[in-house]
Amino acid sequence: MPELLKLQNVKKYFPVNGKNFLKAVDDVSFAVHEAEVFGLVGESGCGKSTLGKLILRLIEPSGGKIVFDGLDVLNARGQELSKIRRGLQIIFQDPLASLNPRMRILETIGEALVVNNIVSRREVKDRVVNLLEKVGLDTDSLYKYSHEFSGGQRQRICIARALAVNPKMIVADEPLSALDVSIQAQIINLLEDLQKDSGLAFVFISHNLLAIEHFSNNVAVMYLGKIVEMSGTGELFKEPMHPYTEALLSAVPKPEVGEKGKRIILEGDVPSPVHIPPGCPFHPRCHKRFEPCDTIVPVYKEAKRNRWVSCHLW
Amino acid sequence: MHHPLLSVEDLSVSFISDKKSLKTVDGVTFKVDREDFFAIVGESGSGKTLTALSIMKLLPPNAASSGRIVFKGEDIFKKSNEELRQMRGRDISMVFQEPMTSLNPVFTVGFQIAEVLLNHLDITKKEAMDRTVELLKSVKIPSPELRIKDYPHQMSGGMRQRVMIAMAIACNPSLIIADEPTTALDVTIQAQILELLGGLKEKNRMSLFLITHDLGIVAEWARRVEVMYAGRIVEKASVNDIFLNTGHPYTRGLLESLPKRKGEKLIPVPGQVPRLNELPAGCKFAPRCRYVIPACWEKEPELIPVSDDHFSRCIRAMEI
Repeated sequence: MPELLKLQNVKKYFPVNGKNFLKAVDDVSFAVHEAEVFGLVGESGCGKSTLGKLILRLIEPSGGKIVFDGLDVLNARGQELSKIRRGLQIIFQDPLASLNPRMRILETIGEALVVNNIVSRREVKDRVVNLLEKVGLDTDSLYKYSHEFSGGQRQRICIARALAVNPKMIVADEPLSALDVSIQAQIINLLEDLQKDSGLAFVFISHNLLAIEHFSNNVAVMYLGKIVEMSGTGELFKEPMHPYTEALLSAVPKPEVGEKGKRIILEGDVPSPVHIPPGCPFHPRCHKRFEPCDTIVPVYKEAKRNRWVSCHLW
Repeated sequence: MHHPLLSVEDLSVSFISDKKSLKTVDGVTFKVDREDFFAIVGESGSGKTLTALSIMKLLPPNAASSGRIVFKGEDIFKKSNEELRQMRGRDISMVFQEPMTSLNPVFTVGFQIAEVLLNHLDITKKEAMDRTVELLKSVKIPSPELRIKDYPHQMSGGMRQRVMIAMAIACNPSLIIADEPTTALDVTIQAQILELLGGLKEKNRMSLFLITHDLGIVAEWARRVEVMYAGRIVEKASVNDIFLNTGHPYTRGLLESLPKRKGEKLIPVPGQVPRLNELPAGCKFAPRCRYVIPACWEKEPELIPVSDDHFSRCIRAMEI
């Protein structure tokens, strides 16, 4: 499959108190191919949502390069930028906050069609009905407002709106977090069907490791603004290389009784991204730290075939 | 005769609004033994938090409750306000989901913990402060003698939850009710907090009553589980039976909707959690159930025994 999205050394530094910087995203590079699901996992504050917004250029990066479908995202203007955004859509965590409470669903989804000249005004309704069917909603939803729906239905509306412009890729930023378990499975299945049937690619941002493992083809683990490990999902979950990934995976309570795996309890909290520890940023909490870790920053490298990691152990 | 530490019998909670009454908890019965680890699992709106608040008698004023809650042989609904105030924090304490909203932003955490001690125990301020430092140490907060002077906003989410736990164990209660204690936290911090709570439970020989939506936490920690749906207990069993001999279609639905390995299709529970004013007449889960038969719509099923100490509110419990 050809490459659809490529990030090279993307950075986002927020100035703090004039002289310090909060390095929310620091030197992140990866590529996503057509119809691929790229999982981005990490704890709160690791920069994964900032990265999601950078991909669409909803916020301006401090440096780096982003190429989507052959187009330079960071230097695009006008027509070219709207072309990129037709190909690249985003859905957010809280669907209620993403929908205008004063618009009916027909207007909410129809607006995307009209603004982008996808169909003529006369055809808008048919196309919206079509989109609603695609995400599993009834046509009587057309004239309802967002508050009349449940959380899961609202997320379906957001997905329908993203699909309206026939995108090639959707950045899904924690699309499950606001939903109950029984509803989460409905949304995962919907996203999975869209990926399989329409060949849609996803950047799937989540802290839910079970969902990441289920849905992604490749996965990157972020810690303090950097990718610390990246590989195929199967390999990463089977045999994590970075101690942080290892601890993260072991921390997830498994919904099964019987044999308990060994749990690695990390010490302390995630440090402030304004005062990133010297050497390896993870060393103060690492259960495998040794001599060079507190002074020398590990190089992010391909330690094994298609397995990228930044750790002195490899 | 053996008395459980806490027994809840036929508890119902209704809200009255516009002359209509909405039953949010309906006939909930369970007991918690000494040194037990008991969990209630359910999704939002299932009534699990209201059940917990009823035990503390902390329901909002427009809620009416009925039934019986007996703690250490005494009926909680018959206690005076003063007796309740004595009980809360000393015999039963509670840890909530969001530590930031449970702590007072204008007082130091040290003051807030010491306040619990001064209220319930006959000790001096100095003794209370010393004990507070000890408590912070026991919840593994580094340099506790400095951190007692911190305000809640100066701490991380995990630290704040540790402070809440320190407050909860301050008077050595026999029961801690933890309502989604780790939902607001990251997984690595969640692991720290659960490890801490589990350790303190053993050390102080307390009972823990955990309310959660996370079946993973239940599988790893709880001994006995009850599953709630639309205000009712739909299944009660040991943790092994819940996972291995699931007896209710809703419990099965919850387990099957958890993400599996790549390639295995998830089986979601169809539809939505019903609104409480639109519940069907028969089994409340019938509209979303895969095993539904005509008899399900006629009459709400009772909790029927599936095996020893395992009950399910499903007329087809034996077949599924």
